Amino acid sequence: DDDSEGMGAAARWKAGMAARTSAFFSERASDLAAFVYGKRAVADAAGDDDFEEAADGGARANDGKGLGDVDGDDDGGGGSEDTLDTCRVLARPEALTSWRGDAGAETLAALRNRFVTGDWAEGQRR
Amino acid sequence: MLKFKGCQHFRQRLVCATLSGRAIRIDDIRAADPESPGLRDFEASFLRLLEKLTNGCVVEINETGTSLRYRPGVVVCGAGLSHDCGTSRSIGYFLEPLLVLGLYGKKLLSITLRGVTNDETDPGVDTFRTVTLPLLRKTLGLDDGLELRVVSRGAAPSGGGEVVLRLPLVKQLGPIKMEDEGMVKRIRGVAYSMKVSPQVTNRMVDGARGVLNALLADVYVFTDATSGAASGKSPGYGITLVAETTSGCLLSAESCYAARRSEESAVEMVEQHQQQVPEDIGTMAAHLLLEEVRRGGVVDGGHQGLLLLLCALGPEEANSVRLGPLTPHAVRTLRHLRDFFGVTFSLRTERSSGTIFATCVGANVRNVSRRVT
Repeated sequence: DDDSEGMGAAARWKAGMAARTSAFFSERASDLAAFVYGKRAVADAAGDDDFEEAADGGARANDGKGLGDVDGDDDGGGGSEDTLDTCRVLARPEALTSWRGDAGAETLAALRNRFVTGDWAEGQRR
Repeated sequence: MLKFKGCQHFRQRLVCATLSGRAIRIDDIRAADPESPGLRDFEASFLRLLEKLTNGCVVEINETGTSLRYRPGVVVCGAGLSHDCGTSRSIGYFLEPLLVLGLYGKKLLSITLRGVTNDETDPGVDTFRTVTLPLLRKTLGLDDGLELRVVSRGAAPSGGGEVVLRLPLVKQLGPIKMEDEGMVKRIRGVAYSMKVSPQVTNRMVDGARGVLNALLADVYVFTDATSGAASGKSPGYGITLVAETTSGCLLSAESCYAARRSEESAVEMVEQHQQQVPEDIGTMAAHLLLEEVRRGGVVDGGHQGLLLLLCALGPEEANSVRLGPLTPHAVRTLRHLRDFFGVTFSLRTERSSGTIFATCVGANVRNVSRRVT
């Protein structure tokens, strides 16, 4: 029995790795909820001022600050509270560079199965 | 009273306030802008439109225009209305909130809107006609009574376009379940031009086909080259592309010639849009469309907010939709829906495709003016 010796502990440590990794990544869902709705959804014990402020329905601007503010992402001029009021996704020039040239051919190939001309079995898997 | 800050999501705040019957107060509207703080002309125009459609609403604005108090009234709507949208924002800016508000009126809504029909910041009228209205029909289960007629087109900066919108009434919305994206089976679109050579539309189609035909043969883009009275007051051109999937979902993208509206923005415009030849505009629209397909979801990025709003207004059942990565607009919409209607979505990310399953129990907002017969 090799497992009962030194390597055994390492094997035990490794055994749960896949499960723990998937558990770690499954928490991304709550990350998203926390990002959208502020910390309230996940902050249980650590009820700081930020959380209190969010609860009274005002001062919504503080939400999601820890995870990178959405309002900082888009350009609308002025402060983050005065971003441009439009639902249209405004394309940044650099966003479309991946479609041009040689990189574009690869991106196109990766998209092939989202079209009826591609592999249907692959497309249905989504 | 709900309190907000800044001019972001101005229209949706007012629409949600009206539908939920809650008063709101918005402070610090462009307070940091030293040159022109406060509300802009298009926001004032939207408030006037809101006053036309509702009875008994109260709007109070302070002297500098940086604070606004709004107490909603009853949505009435009616036929034969008209509104001049001005030229600083396009008609799309006004259409978007109307589509939801009009459903909850006392009388059928029929309104003529005048202004800029297509520009580079708001969704164009073609997107509304070919994507937004079919989406509403599908989610609400309506067959007729929903129509957007483009009488004449108008490009920025002078506008001169005119559209007529007709909307039906609802008692309440039905449950929404849209989780199947399907595969893209065909691509349609409209290439339009105003007061320029009709050949420009064909050149935009060529640009778009050059990209899309590598993936799909079934690409057909209609051309609409307008002139004379139907073409408004300024020259311009652009293209709207729509990808239709096997499950009936519509994804759209658009691109158009960006006319400069004022001298101050001219410099950055020149830097941003060095190349504005028709072929490039067609190619850019095609790339944007492929980007939407890559992101996934049953609607494109521009319609995420509307779909989430319809889910939240829906009945007290599970409404579920599948979306691509959330846009900043959709994230703010989700926060508003929690504030106004107390609807919190559960968000589940599917890792392999990067799409998000958003599920909620609707607030069951009913049309109070409509008697149950």
